[in-house]
Amino acid sequence: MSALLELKDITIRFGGLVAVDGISLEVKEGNVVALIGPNGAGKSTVFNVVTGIYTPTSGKVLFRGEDITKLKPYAITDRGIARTFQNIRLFKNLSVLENVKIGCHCRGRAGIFGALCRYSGVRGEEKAFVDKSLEAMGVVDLTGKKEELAKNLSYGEQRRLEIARALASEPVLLLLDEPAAGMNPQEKQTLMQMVQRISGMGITVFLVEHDMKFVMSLSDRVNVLDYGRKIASGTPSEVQRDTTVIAAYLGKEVV
Amino acid sequence: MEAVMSILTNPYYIQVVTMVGISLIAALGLHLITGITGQFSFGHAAFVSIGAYASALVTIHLHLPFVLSMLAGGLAAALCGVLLGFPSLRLTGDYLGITTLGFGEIVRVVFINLKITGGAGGLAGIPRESNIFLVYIVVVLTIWGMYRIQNSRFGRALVAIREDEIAAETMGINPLLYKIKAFAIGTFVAGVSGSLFAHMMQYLNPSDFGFARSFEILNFVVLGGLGSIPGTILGTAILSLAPEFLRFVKEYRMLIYGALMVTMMIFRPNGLLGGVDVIRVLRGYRNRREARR
Ligand SMILES: Nc1ncnc2c1ncn2[C@@H]1O[C@H](COP(=O)(O)OP(=O)(O)O)[C@@H](O)[C@H]1O
Ligand SMILES: [Mg+2]
Repeated sequence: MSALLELKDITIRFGGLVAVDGISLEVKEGNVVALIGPNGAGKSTVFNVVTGIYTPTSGKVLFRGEDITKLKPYAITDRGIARTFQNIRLFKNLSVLENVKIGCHCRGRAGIFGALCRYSGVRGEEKAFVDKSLEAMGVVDLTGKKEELAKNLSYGEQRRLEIARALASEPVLLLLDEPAAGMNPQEKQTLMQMVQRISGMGITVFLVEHDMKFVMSLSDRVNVLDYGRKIASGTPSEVQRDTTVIAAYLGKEVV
Repeated sequence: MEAVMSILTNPYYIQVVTMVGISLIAALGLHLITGITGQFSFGHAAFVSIGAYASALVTIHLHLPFVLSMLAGGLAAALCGVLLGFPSLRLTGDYLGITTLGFGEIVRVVFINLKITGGAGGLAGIPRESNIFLVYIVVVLTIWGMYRIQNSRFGRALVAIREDEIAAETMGINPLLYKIKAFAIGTFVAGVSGSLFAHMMQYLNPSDFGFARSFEILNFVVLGGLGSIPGTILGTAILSLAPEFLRFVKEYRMLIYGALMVTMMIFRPNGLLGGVDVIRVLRGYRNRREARR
């Protein structure tokens, strides 16, 4: 079976700094795949390359076999990749429901004419957006907060709202950049169940996370980055036993 | 009763109230560009002038019915808006502000030097086709249209761009395309306002549409609360009526606008009604003020 997402020899430079150095990796359909590594290893940069925010200096990104390396972020979302951000990027002054409805954008069609005339097709689409948004909010337990402004949510809720907004775009592949950051152990536990639920919905998950318990218990495969290079990949137990990984990363954590 | 009637039929008051309506239409156009989409434009009066001159020329030379010249004025302004938008809406913040400022000055200089628009002497002999009723019909239509836009998939995309452009783009929104569409509608509305102005005053002069006028329209939108339609109405009404009834306001107009802007930025950076969702308040939701971090 070929991979859903394939990075081929991706390199990206910022001036003199090589943030990502010749990385190749695969994400198989239906898997939960983790990307780990110390701070500054290049994990978020890889996500930015996959979602079209950065164009790599060299290398290719294939999604379902299609070359998406040079596509704009909105075109990539349209093809079925959604994401959350490490430093939360919500529409702060909008309500929870409005945030998630914007996530539905790429699955709708109504334009200016539809806005003004609001003919039955447009009303139907709006209704479908609300239904789909409530469903996405249900996955992360935010239905009760739908009228709350995003900026008034707790930190953990904001992270979950980002996931709901991403789910509303009906992704095939969901990228989560440090979804558990800043959460307490109990919130992490719930989040873990939510990720499992999302995976159970048939969505492939690709995540960056520092919490090892979280990563190791959720993931089918783990890729390890250090200084922009991939130093290991495999199942959680293989990676945990890898000596280079222990030296570069886990060692520091364990001590 | 007679006193009331005499005020209501006083041509001066009718003129003032009509002018408020014309300004409000222009301000609502800028509201979409700046208040909703978050793109600063310091050249809005230029689009008003393009609509004014285009419609006046269409009426004078082609003798079309006013509704058609009004449409022509709007379309001419929107066309210029789109042509300016393509290169400059890639820019953000200060750069976009400077580009629109420069564009406004260019348009003014072009009208001063064009023969067909009467140059610096102005364009006279425009038939009086607009009146208070027509102006307020357009006001109501524009407000209605803006509300519809704000509560639609299209409008949500514009707000998303204002709130966080990168997040909007990862939600599948093409920011440049949507900014250009917002610019097209906002400048169309400015052009319609210009058409009503031209056919009301029957005379146009490029000096009526300089930077000062652009800044004034921006004030209308900012004072009441960026992004709020009731705020835009309130801001336009206060700032256009004050100079008419308070003489000193008229003399020190620019000084007062400047001071007002600074005071607002300090005490109420979101405008008088900014952050107040009137519909929410009416529905009875408790409004939470942003906790300062
Ligand atoms: N836009 C950018 N410009 C310059 N340097 C960047 C940019 N984005 C990331 N970097 C650098 O690339 C490296 C990898 O960053 P990042 O991918 O955010 O790391 P991680 O997510 O693994 O902590 C860091 O050294 C960071 O400073
Ligand atoms: Mg990161």
